[in-house]
Amino acid sequence: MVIDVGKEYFYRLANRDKNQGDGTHNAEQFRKKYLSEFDSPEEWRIGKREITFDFTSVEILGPSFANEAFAYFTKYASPENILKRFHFINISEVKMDTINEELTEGYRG
Amino acid sequence: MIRYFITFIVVLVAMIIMLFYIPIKLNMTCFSQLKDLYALMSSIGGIFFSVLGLLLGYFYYLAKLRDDKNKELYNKYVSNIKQLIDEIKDVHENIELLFNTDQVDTSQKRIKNNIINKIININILLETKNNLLHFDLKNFISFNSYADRIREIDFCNQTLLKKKETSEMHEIYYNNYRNVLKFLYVSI
Repeated sequence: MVIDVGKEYFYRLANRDKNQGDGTHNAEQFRKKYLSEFDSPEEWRIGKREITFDFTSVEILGPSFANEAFAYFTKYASPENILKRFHFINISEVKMDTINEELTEGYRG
Repeated sequence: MIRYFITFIVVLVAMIIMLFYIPIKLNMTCFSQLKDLYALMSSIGGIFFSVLGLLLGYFYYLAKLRDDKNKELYNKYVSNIKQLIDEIKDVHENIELLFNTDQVDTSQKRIKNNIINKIININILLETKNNLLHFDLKNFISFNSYADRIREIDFCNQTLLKKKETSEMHEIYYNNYRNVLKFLYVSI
């Protein structure tokens, strides 16, 4: 499955939750919309699902969004395993480094 | 440029030497023979130096174009670095404010908004200008991440344990801040 994040969700990914910024298009909503099937230890132990995020139209990615949307899953799997199942295409170096940094440092929610 | 100048001097010296060497080698003693030879050499020399002059002018023009382009690129590079330094110092000022604020919720919210906006500015600046800056992004991403971590701390409701965690985080953040600034100052 490929998600065109900028078009299907939003081009500005900065808010962690409804309390940050204007609260809209936040990472919590994003995670529940696209990644709810990954939110269980069984899925990471025996599941095979993979998902691809196309970042072509995404202009901004804040560290807290990346943390809430992707690093949330570090409670189930290592950053390497997460990146084997979450694929990021057409993504800039800065955005990919931001995701990697958040995955390495872990979830802070 | 120096290379062209040396070539010019070598050719000039060679021609002066030839001016004396050829008549001696050909055993020219008659004045009219010498006159004809010098006339021939001066017309050949004239053409040669005109072409050489044109070539030198052309190469000078190319070198000047290249220099101007390099200067323009360097000025852009320096202005991008200064802009980055300003944004990073702004983040730092706001982080320090957050630590020293009177812990009123509303003022914290304003400072936190400033921090996230500045972090996003730094990301945009790095994304749009990195073809010019060619930085190793790791320091900046780490700085942004820790600044954002501190921004998310609720300074109004901190337990003793949380305060310890916060001060450890502040220590890491401060090291990142120093590393990034050092890196930028060295880059200019």
